[in-house]
This record gives sequence, structure tokens and C-alpha cells, in this order.
Amino acid sequence: MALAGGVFILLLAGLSFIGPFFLEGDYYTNTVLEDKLTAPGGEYTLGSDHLGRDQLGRIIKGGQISLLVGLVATFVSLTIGIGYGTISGYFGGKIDSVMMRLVDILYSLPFVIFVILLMVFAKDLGDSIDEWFRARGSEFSISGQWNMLLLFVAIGAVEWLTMARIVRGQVMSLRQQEFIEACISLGLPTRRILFRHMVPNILGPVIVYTTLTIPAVMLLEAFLSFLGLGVQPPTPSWGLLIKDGADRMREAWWMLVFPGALFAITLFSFNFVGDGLRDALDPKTSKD
Amino acid sequence: MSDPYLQINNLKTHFPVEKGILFRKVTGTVKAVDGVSLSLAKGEVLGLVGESGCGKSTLGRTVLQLIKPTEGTVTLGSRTLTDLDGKELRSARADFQMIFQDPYASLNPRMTVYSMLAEAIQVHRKVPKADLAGAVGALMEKVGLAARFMRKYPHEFSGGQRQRIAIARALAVEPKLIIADEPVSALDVSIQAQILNLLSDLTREMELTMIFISHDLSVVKHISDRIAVMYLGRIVEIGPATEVFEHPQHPYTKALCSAVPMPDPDSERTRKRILLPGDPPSPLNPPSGCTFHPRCPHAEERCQAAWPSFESLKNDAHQAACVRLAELNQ
Ligand SMILES: Nc1ncnc2c1ncn2[C@@H]1O[C@H](COP(=O)(O)OP(=O)(O)OP(=O)(O)O)[C@@H](O)[C@H]1O
Ligand code: SF4
Ligand SMILES: [Mg+2]
Repeated sequence: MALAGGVFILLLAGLSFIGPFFLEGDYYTNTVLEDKLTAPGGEYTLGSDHLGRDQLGRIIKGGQISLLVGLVATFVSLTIGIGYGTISGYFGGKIDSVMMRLVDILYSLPFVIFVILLMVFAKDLGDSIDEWFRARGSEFSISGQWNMLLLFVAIGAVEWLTMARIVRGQVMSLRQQEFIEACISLGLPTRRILFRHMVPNILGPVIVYTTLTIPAVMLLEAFLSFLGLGVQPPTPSWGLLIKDGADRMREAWWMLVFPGALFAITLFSFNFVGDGLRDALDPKTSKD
Repeated sequence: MSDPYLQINNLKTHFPVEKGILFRKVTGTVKAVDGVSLSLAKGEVLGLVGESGCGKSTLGRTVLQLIKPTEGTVTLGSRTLTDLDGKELRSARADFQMIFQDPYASLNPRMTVYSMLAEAIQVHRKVPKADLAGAVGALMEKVGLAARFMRKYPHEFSGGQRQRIAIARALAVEPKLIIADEPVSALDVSIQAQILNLLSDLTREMELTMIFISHDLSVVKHISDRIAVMYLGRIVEIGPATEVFEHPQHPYTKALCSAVPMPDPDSERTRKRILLPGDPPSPLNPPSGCTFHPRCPHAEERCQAAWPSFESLKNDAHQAACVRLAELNQ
């Protein structure tokens, strides 16, 4: 299963990121209004949407966006969460109290308001950066990618909190184990104890949680896009495609079924891969 | 005794008992180690016995600076360990190592024997990468393991073999002092003797000074030069191993000894067991005076007044802390 999941994700990534090279530049925005809501088969393999855009092209582009958001934002949250949680759990005491209260406070902030604030304030920032470059005669423009960047930051900033808590709990229970005491007794530097002895032993639960985070992040992106805060149309993401599809479920089932099924299979695949990785990383279950 | 190599001076380790989440209030102290003084000559093996919870492990960890003492000093050679901190302490750790009770918890499950031992070898010494495998192999053979197993993970070994790995890891830094905290009590009886013999041989071969902790007198007596008996955070009797075992003086030691079965069937039949009433009191709230008095069959009024000082009868090296020592051992 893990292998099948991995192969599927690789295929999907290949399709999303390499596929576009074989397509025309406007493959996901090419609007042909006369062809709107064409059923699958014929000219449009997976049908067309309410503006007559090719559904296949939009799914490919959407996959690109969703996977990118899922992976990058998860990676961000993973890095911060592991570092923060490990330090907090290992040192314990006052350091831990302060660090964890901070997490609690961030946790209690309403996420949507946080993201709205971030998007509103930072949107202008993107424009000003562009202006700054333009004033210096540079063609460089960031505002195209700016929204995506903000999305990574916003989601990463929220998701790392749970990761930090999970990691901290694991580290605290590991801290009691005699092999950590043995490391201290040997005189190993703290950094080495943390990253050579602690981190590998918490990787199992972390990986499982990661495989749950990727789909959660993809859902979050869909939600934000739905609110108009995430990916901006006409750029599609799977979340947006599913939303469009749900609005036209009766007239055009293909607009919902194809992105929806793909999304579901992707989420399953990540879970299978997570299981597989956890087993592979555990010396007790892998063959020698 | 020749010049002491390890000197423990009035060592106390108290743990605060805290209540409350936001504002922590100290509601009491567990006096796990409460004024222990010991000295060991170089190459000496001291057996430390006592019931579960009397503070043996805490004493061991405090001596090795894994826990900071509340009071008192530990001196090893010319260095006062309790004064060291940070980097100094870390580099001093090459001189003293611990062997833990549970060989299943004391080895990192995700590291091969090779990486574990190689890491230990390299902490305090520079060893060229090319020589590492040889050094690890030599270390493994020293503790009775075949070097070809070095790429295996801990879970592929039996309990006894794991304990050998743990011993090898402790020896990797070439220590002078070893504290073995019940190193055989988690093992099968048939394997205990092998590990004990190994430790015994190694201490002799490498001139290690060792504190061997156990709750079982019979385990300690063969390996130790001297035996110290601990009760509720304090030493109550100390002396040469055979003497403490064969002629115990303190009422608590007598009770401990009477619980050890005799190998000779005749003496086993006549063995009188001294049964102690009750459980050991909690170190959170120790009794006054001689802390043993609530369970001591010879307790008197005056036992509750103050902690008795050490006295010896015939042999100066054999001491016990009991106010009725002389009258009880006539
Ligand atoms: N970190 C700690 N915090 C609070 N109390 C502790 C701590 N460590 C040990 N204690 C207490 O100190 C006392 C002595 O514990 P210790 O583990 O040293 O006993 P022990 O003689 O080694 O027992 P055992 O034979 O079961 O290993 C116990 O009452 C224990 O509950
Ligand atoms: S001092 Fe008293 S209570 Fe303590 S061991 Fe001696 S006789 Fe028993
Ligand atoms: Mg113990």
C-alpha cells in the first residue's frame, strides 16, 4: 500500500509539475465560452467548466498549487515545530513553561482573523516591494507569487503549534529514558544528544502526524481560497475546483467528481506513505 | 586505607515536592539522600545495598553529577566534581561512568552497536576514522561479544548481551570510576553470574574503582571488597564484605542478612529469619532520630532522639550507626 501510495504521489507530482511543459501556456485559463460545461470525452478529456476552460488543464495546475502549498507549508511547520518542541521538552522547567505558554497564546488567537490581518497588511507590502524594484529600474516583481508566499507563512505559522506540542510530549517521555542519561554521562554535547538521539526517536509519530498535516494544509488552503484569501482566481487549486464543482453539481458532475476523487486518493496516498515510512524507519520492523 | 580516590562528603539530595500549575508551591521535600559520606580507595569495589526506594540510585546519580546535590561534595582524585560546570564537567565525565539497571532502556533503539560505541569512543578522544571499527571490535571482544555483531541494533540482542553492550559503552571513554546501578537485577538468574564475573574481571584488569548497587546482599558479597548498607537515604553500616555479611552489627543489616538463603542445607534449616514489620517509611516524612526505629526490634526511647553516630567494635574498618551497638553485639 505504501508503495502504491508513493507511486501515485510521484505520478501526480510528475503530472502536475512536468505535464505543463507539454501544454500550451494558457492551458488553465484558456476560456472558450461557447464550450462551457462540455461533458467529458471528445475535445475535453475531463470536460470543461462553466467558463469553457479545460478541466484537465485546471486540475493539473490546481494539483501543482495544492501540492506546493501542502508540502511547503508542512515543511515549514515541521522544521519550526521539531526545533521548538525538542528544546522545550528537553530543557523542561522554566524554559518549557515559558515556551509552551507562548504556544497556548498563539493557539488561542482566532486563525481566520490572524490570516485576514496578515493578508490585508501584507498585500500592500507586496505591492510596495514591487514599486521599490520598479523605482530602481528592475523588472523584478514579487506580487505574482506574493499571495502564495503569504499562504505558506500563514498556514505554517498555525500548523507548527500542534507539531511543537506533539514533539515536546515525545521528548519529555524520552528524556526519562536511561539512554539519554547515558549520553549525558558520556559527556556528549547537548546538540548531539538532541539531534542524534532525541530526534530520530520521535520521528515515527512525527511522520505520521506529517502525513496528516499535508492533507490538513491542503484543506486549509481550500478554505482560505474559498474566502478569497488564498489562491486568487483565475489560478486554480483543488480546493477552488471542488468548490466550483460543488456549486454546479447537478449540471456538471465532472467538475466535482474528478478533482474530488483525485484529492481523496491523494490524501489516502499520503497516509499510506506515512505508515510505510514509519515502519521503514523503525529498526524493529525492518528486515536487517 | 591508602589515600582515598573517591571521596563523598556529607552528600544530600533532596527533591522538592511541588503543587500547583501556575504558581508552584513547595509542599515538602523527599530526602532521597540525606548525608552520606564514603571514601573509596583506587581499585576498590564497594557494594551498596538497601531496600527499594532507599535512595541508592539517587546517590549513584548524584555522585556522577547527573543530579545536582543539595549539599555536600564529591571529590574524584584531585578534582571536586561538585564544583564543576558546563564544559569542564563534560570533559571530566571521561573519568566516571554509569551502568544502568535496565539494558532495554539504556541503549538507543535506533543506533547500531557500532555507532553507539564509536560515538562513545570519540567523545573524549581523537580516533582516526580508519581505526574506529577496530577499536569498536576490540571493545566488544573485551566484554565478551563477537565483533561481527557490530552492525546490529540493540533489539537483536538478548538482555545479557545488551548489558554487555552497555558495559562496553561505559568502558569506551576509559573511565576510572564506575557506578553499576543494579546491573544484573533485570536479567535472568542464569545470566546474572556471567555479567557479575565480567564486571569482576574488568575491574581487576583495568583497576577500576566501582560502586556496585543492589538490593540483594548475596549478589554484592562476591564482587565487593567492602559493603555499605543504606536505609532511608543514609548509610547505617559499612565494613569489609565478608565481615558485614557474616557478622552484621546493625539491626537492619541483620534483618537483611537473615533474608539471604544459605547454600548449605543444614544452616539453611536453622536459619532464623528476622521479619521486619511494616514497609520502609517514606523519605518524604522520615521518622526522627534513628530512622529505623519504627521497625527495629530493639528500639528504645533514646533511639528517637538523634541520628546515632558511627561506632566500631573490634575492627575500625567496620562501623555501624546504632545507639545500642555494643550491647546488641556482645
Ligand atoms: N526525580 C525525582 N523527583 C522526586 N523524587 C524522586 C526523584 N528520584 C527519586 N525520587 C525519590 O527518591 C527516593 C529514592 O529513590 P531511588 O530511585 O534513589 O531509590 P532506589 O534505592 O534506587 O530504589 P530501587 O531499588 O527501586 O531502584 C524514592 O522515594 C523516590 O521516589
Ligand atoms: S538506634 Fe535504636 S532503633 Fe536504630 S537501629 Fe539501633 S536499636 Fe534500632
Ligand atoms: Mg534504583
